[in-house]
Amino acid sequence: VLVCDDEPVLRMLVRATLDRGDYTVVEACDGDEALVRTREEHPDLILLDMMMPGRSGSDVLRELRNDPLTAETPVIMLTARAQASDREAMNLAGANHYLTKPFSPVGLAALVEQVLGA
Amino acid sequence: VTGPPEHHGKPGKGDAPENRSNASLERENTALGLESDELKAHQVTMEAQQVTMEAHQVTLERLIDINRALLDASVDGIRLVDLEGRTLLANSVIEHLTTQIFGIPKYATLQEGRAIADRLTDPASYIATMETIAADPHCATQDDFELADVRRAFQRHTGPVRDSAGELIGRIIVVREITAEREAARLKSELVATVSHELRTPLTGVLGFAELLMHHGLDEATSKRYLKTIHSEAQRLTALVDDFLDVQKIEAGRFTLALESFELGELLEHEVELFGAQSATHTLEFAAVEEPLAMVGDRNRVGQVIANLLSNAIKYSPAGGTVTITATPREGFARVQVTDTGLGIPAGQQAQVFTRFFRVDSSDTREIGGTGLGLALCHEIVTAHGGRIGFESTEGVGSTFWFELPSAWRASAADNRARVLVIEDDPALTLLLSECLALDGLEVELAGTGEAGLGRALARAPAVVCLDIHLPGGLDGWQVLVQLKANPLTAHVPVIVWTAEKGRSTAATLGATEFLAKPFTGDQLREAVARQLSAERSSVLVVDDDPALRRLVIETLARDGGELREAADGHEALAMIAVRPPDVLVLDLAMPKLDGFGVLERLLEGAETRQMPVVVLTGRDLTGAERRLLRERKAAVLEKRKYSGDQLRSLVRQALGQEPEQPAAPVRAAA
Repeated sequence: VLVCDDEPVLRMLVRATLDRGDYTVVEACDGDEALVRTREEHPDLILLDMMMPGRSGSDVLRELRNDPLTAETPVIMLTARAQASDREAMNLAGANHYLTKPFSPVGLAALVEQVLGA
Repeated sequence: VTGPPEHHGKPGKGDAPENRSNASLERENTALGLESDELKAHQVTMEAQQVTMEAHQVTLERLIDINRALLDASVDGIRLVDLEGRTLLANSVIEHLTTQIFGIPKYATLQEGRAIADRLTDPASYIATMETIAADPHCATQDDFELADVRRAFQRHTGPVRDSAGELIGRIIVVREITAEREAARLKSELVATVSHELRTPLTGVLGFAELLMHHGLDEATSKRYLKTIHSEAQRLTALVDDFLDVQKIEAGRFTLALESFELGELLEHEVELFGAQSATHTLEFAAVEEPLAMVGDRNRVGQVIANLLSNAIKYSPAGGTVTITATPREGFARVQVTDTGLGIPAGQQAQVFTRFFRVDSSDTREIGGTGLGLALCHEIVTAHGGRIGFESTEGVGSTFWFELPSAWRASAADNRARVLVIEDDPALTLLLSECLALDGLEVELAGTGEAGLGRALARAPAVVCLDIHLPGGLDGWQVLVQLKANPLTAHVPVIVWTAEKGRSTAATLGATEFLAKPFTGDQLREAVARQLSAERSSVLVVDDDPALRRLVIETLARDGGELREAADGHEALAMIAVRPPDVLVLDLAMPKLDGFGVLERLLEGAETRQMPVVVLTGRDLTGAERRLLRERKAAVLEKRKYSGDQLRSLVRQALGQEPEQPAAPVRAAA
């Protein structure tokens, strides 16, 4: 699982939730790093923050979808915004799911299991 | 700004009254054979009618003037057009809008009005409204439009105008600028989005790790780590909430500073260390300052300014890079500079940088978090300290943000005049007082609030403080007085208190030296200040054969006020002491003719001069015997190669008994 968020505490939280034997967690602190690491690590799932300095989450998502190698990789967006318009935008850009901050680690684990278990 | 294009025909032309002169009437009447009496009566009637007509004319002109005044008094643009779209009436606002803002040279017909559409963000909707009006001349419309090149928005109301008979005669158009309202609404919704994002991030950490703690059997080390994270994220939330509250405080005018002495270099080092650890892709370069930068101010607030600038430098250089921090002492103030090699600020947005809720808006920066409050707060804090803040920035190259704060001991004032600090909020009274005091050749410094006054006094102790009791802001005069007397930097400064209320005994108890009841005269004040100055005015004699060094010592000591005399050698010094002994003698040892030791020996001979406080300034190493001698004489010694103006001033103040021998611990001045 690749987690991309500019906030270290968010990455720590995701690692603490998922990195317990079932998953390997790879971190990226901005959009560029996320794209590089995706090409290197071929993650099964990407958790992507929406608001990041430099390349935003939706920019990264667009690039991922345009690359045939990652076009099918499931992506869960992490966002502070929860308005309907934002959700629609994310769906259109090709996100599989989204989680609104603050999110529950238990909920995150369940969602990841659901996405990867299928 | 339009009218129906349909042709409704010109309004019916009324019959013009025939203009017949009285003479021709007379001729006519004579021809009709009317009696002269009858004729006279007629003539009177006619004249009366003419007077009435003239009166009507005046009334009409007056009405036109009133109408014009009313129209021009409106903040809205108003235009009246006839049924063919021709302007009948336009006020100055709409003329200004049309020619200056919309850039239409003149607006006489509908076609010219249409040209406005080309300048708008949405020409189609503007034209659609015009077409609606054209289709139905009786309709009323309301629409908004915005200029494409500058951010200015307008609201337009139009409606039919009828005459008293109910006949349609034209259309009235009212245009109101709504730029400010739009901007406020936009900022508010942006703020809500930002606050939401900013608060949610730490909240996620707190709730997330708390949940992990509850649901998993964790080992002790991990639990501790999670708890630490929860704690630090909660602290971050607190800081955010504080930021918002600070902004509220500023808006309500309740911003206060907790003044204390601190070392700016240390504070910078501390902040740089904190931020250096936060980013792996950034290098923070801080050249430690050689000399201490002693400041008086609110240490936490100044730290907040530094933290904000560092955090911005890191945030706005997402590619990483070097952030350079410098601190330089200048004449009277210290300058701190933070330079990044980041995105920079587009030239068009630079004017708004210190505006509340402003955030650089470009495709590169849109996603960068921040409250938009940081720099606005920095500006408030630096200004409250009597400092300045600014920046230079080039888009794509980087930014340099700097601020300057007055430094405590480096205040430059070669000015030998005694300085009077007047803390008074009434501008009229302040003006009067400063003029009065200027008559006596005094340098007057003004402060409108207790906080500002306290800041000035601590930054550079004045010779006298004049203090009003009723002051706006968080500190009243009594509180200021207590703080002044509690702080070793200002405890010795005499304070003249005034108020319109009772308080003479309170003033005396709290340590004020003089009390003036309002109202008082300018002369009363001058006398009071003069009394304090003569009581306080210390006299220092500087003896050195090197004129440059004498100058340096005198300029350094001039900051504390008082009388300064100079002598070039021992004999001259003794002569001046004989005329009038100084309170302190600053003495060089190696001098031609009579040297410093010779002077000290002679002073021992006189009962009056035996105990005279002496500060010895020496350029050579002293022998053991010489040291012993100086110790016995209780002379303070300052070596020239270790000279510092601060230390000299401090030694002289000690010699004058104005300062305790040990540097005092920082004093927290305001809550």
